[in-house]
Amino acid sequence: MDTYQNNQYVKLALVVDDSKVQCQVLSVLLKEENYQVIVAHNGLEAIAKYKDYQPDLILMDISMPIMNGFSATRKIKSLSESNLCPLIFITSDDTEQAYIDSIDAGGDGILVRPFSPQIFKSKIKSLQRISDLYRQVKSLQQEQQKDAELAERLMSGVIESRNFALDKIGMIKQPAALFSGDIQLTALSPNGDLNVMLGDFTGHGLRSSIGAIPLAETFRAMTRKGFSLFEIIIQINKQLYTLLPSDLFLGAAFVSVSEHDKSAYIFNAGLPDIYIMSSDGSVRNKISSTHPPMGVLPELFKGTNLTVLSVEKDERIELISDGILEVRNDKGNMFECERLEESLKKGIVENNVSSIVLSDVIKFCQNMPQEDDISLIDIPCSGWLSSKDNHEATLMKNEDKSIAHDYENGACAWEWRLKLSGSRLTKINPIPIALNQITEIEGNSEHWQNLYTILTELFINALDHGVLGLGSELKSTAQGFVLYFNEREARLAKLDKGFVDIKLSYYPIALGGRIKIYISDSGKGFKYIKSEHREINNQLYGRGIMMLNQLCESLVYKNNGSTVEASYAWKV
Amino acid sequence: MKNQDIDKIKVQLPGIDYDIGVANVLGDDEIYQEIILMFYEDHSKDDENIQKAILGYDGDNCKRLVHTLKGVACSIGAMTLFEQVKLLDIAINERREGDYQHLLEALKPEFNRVIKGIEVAFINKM
Amino acid sequence: MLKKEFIIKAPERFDFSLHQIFRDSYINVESHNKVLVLDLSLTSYMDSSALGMILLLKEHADNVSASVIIRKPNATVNKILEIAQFHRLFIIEN
Repeated sequence: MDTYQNNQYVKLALVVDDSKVQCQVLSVLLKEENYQVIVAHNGLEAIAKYKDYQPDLILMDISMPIMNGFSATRKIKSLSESNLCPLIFITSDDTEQAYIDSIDAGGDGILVRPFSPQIFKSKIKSLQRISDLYRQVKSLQQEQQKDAELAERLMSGVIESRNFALDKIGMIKQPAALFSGDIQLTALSPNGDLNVMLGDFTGHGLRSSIGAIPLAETFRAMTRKGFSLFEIIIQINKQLYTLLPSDLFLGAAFVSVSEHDKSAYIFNAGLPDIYIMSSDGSVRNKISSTHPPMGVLPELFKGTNLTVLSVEKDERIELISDGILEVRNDKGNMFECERLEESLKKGIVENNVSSIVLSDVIKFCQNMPQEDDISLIDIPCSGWLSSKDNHEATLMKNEDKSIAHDYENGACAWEWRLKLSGSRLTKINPIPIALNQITEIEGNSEHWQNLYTILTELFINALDHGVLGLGSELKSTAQGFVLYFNEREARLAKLDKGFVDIKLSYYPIALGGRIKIYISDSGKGFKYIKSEHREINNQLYGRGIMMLNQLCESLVYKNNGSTVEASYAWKV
Repeated sequence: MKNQDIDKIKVQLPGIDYDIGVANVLGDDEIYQEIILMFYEDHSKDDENIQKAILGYDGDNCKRLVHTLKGVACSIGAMTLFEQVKLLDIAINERREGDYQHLLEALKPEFNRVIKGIEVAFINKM
Repeated sequence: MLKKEFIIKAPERFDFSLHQIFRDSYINVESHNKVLVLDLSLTSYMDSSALGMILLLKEHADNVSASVIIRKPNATVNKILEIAQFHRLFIIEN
C-alpha cells in the first residue's frame, strides 16, 4: 500500500496515439506529474505494450489505424479485471456519442481537446485518487479474505476435527458462506453415552461464528467430565446468553444416546423437528422444538424437560437445520418435510443417509444459489464404541487386583467429602465435582473414567433407590425405562428433604493407587437385600451391579443398602 | 534561446497562437518548436492526402486523417485551422458527403498559411 | 386507559438487509406505556436474523417499559415463530 502513496515511486503511463505530435505533447504533461511514459501508435501496439509493461495509467486516442481506441480498450480492460489501471480517452471529438462510447468501451473518463494543462492535471489527479482507493479496498479485501480463511481453518480445526466417531455418525455440512452458521458436535461421555448437538447460529459468516468455539469447548469439556445432557444444555444457554449480543442466538438440537440403556435423551430448542427413524425407514417419532433457541433467555424456562425415548439398536436419529427444508428449486418450491422424509427413508434402507439426502437436495435445487447453511446429522443408536472403548476391556484383571492388595497398608493421603441435602440434590451433580477434585490433586489418569462410572452408579443408586425411593423393577422393560424416568423427574421436582453423603479417601500404593468410596443416603435401604451379601440379583440393580462388581476391588452394602463402601485400585 | 528570437519566431508563424501552443507543453519553448517541426514532417501533405481519400471514397482513411489533423492543430495552437478542420470533421461524422469537397477547399488557405509559415521560420534556415 | 399502539409494518422479505432500517423505525419510540406492534401481515419470508431483530425490538421495549405484540403472521412465518417458541416470549395475535 505504501508504495503507491510514496512519491518516490515512479509511475508508468502508456500513451496511445497515432500522431507523434500528440504523443509528445501528452508525454510532456505526464512527465510533469512524475510519470515515466511509453507510447504506442495504434490499438494493437497498445495491447502488446500494456501486457509487457503493466502501466499505472493509459491515455488512449480513439481514431487510429490498424485498431481503434475502443477495441484496444475493451481488450485491455478484459485483461485487467483484477487490477484497476485507469484509462482516459483523449480526443478532439466533442460529441455526446464519443463520450458514451468511451465509457461503454471501458474508459474511466474522457478529455476533449482543447484542454489546458491544468485541466489535464486535475483529471489525472482524480483518476489516480480513484485507483488508489481501489487498490486500498482491494488490499483490505484480500487481507480480510486471508483472515477469514485462517479463522475458518482454526474454527474447523477446533470444531469438526475433534468430533467423536466421525466414521459412525453421518454428517452433511454445506455452508452458504465461508463461515457456516451451523455447528455440529459429537462427544463421548465417560459412561459410553454419545452426546450430539446440531446448532444453527443466527445468520451466516464470521459474525454468526463467534459463539462456535466457546460452545464447542463447553460441550466437549462437560461431556468429558460426565455432566448430564441437561446440565450441559443449561450451561450452554447461560454461556451464550452472556456471550452473544441480543440478536444472536443458537437454534439447537441435543441428543444423548445410551446404547446400554437403549434410551435417548432429546432436546429441541429452535430447530425443525428431530426425526426418530425405524430401521425400515419409516418415521417413528418427531420431536418438535419446545424451547426458544439457546442464548435468548438468561435461564431455561421453568419446567423445561428433556424428552426420553427408548430406542432400538437399529433405529436412527436425524437432526436437521432449517436450511435443508428451505432449499429452493428454480420454480421457487422448497424441499420441505415430505421430500426429506422420502429421502431419509431411502437413505436408511440403503444404509447411507447423509450421501443420499445430500444428492437428493442437490438434484432438487439444480443450480439455484444456496441461501442458507445446509446441515444434517445422522445418528445411529448403537455401534459407536469400538471394542477397546468398552469398559470390560479396560478392567483390571484379577491378578492385577491381587497385586494392589499387597500394598494395602499405605496411609491415607487425602480425604474429600460432600454432603448434598434437599433441593440441592436436584440441582447439583456431585460426580463432576468429585472427579475434578481427584484430577486437581492427582492429575489426569485413564483410570478416572472407571472411577466416574463407579461414582455415577453408586450416586444414582443412592439418589434413586434411597432418597427418592424408586424401585428399579420398573426399569426391566424399555417402555418401563421411560415411565421410570418420568416418575423420577416428578419426585425430584418435589424433593425438599433427604441427603446423599459422599466421602472419598485416597491411598497411594506403589505403582498405583486406591480410592475408597463411602456413600450413604437418607433412604430406607433396599428392602430386598437381607444382608451385606453382594451377589445381588441383577434385576434389582440392572446393569449397574454387574459393572460395579467387575470394576471394584470390593463392594459392600451396609444398613440395608443405605450405605455402600467400595474400593477401586489400580496400578500404572 | 534569447527572448528576441522567440518574438521573431512568433511573428513568423502565421496561423499559430504561440502562447497557447507553448502553454500546452507547459511553456517549454524547445519542446514546442520540436513539436511544430514534427507537425510539419507528419502533416504537411495532409491536404493532398485528404483530397485523395475524398476522391477515392476512402471513408475510413478520410475520417481518420481529418480527425487527427483536427487534434494536432489544436495541440500546436493553430486554432483557426482547428476550427476549420472541425467543420469538415463534423460533416464526415454526419456523413454529409456533398459538403466534403467545399469544406476542404475552405480550409486549404489556412492550412497552407500555417505550413508556409513553419517553412519560412525553420525549414529554409536549415 | 387504552395503551397507544405504535405499529411497525415489516415488508414481504424480512431479513438481515433490513437491520438498520428496522432499528431506526423504533429506536426513537420512548414514551412509556406504549405497545409496539410488529405487523407481519405482508411478510412471506423471514430468516433467523429477523428473529434476532425482533429480540432487539423486545430489548428496546423492555428498556422503555413498553410491550411488544406480533400481529398477523402468515402460516409460513408462524411456523418459524413456533419453532423458535416465540409465543412464549411475545403475544402473537392472528
